[in-house]
Amino acid sequence: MDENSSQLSEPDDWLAGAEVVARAQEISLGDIEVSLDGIEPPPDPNVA
Amino acid sequence: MGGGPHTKWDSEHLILTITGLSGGWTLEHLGSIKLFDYAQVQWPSDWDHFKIDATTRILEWTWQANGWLVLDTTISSGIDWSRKDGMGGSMQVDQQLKAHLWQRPTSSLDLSVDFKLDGSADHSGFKGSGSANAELTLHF
Repeated sequence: MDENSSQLSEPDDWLAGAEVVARAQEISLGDIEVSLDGIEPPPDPNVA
Repeated sequence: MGGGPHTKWDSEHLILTITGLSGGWTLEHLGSIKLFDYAQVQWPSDWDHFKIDATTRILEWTWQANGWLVLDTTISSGIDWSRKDGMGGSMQVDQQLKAHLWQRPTSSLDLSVDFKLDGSADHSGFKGSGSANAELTLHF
């Protein structure tokens, strides 16, 4: 294999027909604040 | 947030799966989708309509805000690759390869994301935090 056919310098050459799998654990999504306007609230158990 | 009853998410997991996206999808496209237009989910049987509707909105918002982060973090963690000719291996992903993986059209693409949510909500809003585990499969 010469330099011009290096796998890493020519991704197309080795990715063609390949299956690539990647996994990541515990990706922090940080604080979340979302408006729920328009969503029907659950019944209030304190209201008869 | 307003008054009224509160619904809580206590480290609750929800797994969303997207399978068999075909016809040239890229990671760039995947990071920009409206999540529930494509994802399948099995809702817990004890969740009421409010919790399901609220979680749908929370995760749609989360994907809009963090979808690219989730995908970028996932491929940055390294990849396992294999081909039908028996070649394959595990490798770290440098910036050049990452850019290529983001933009290269796939023949099919699968994604599974296990979201974990903590927080509470009433009728006006949800406040909390989240994290995700992700598995991405790309066919070229």
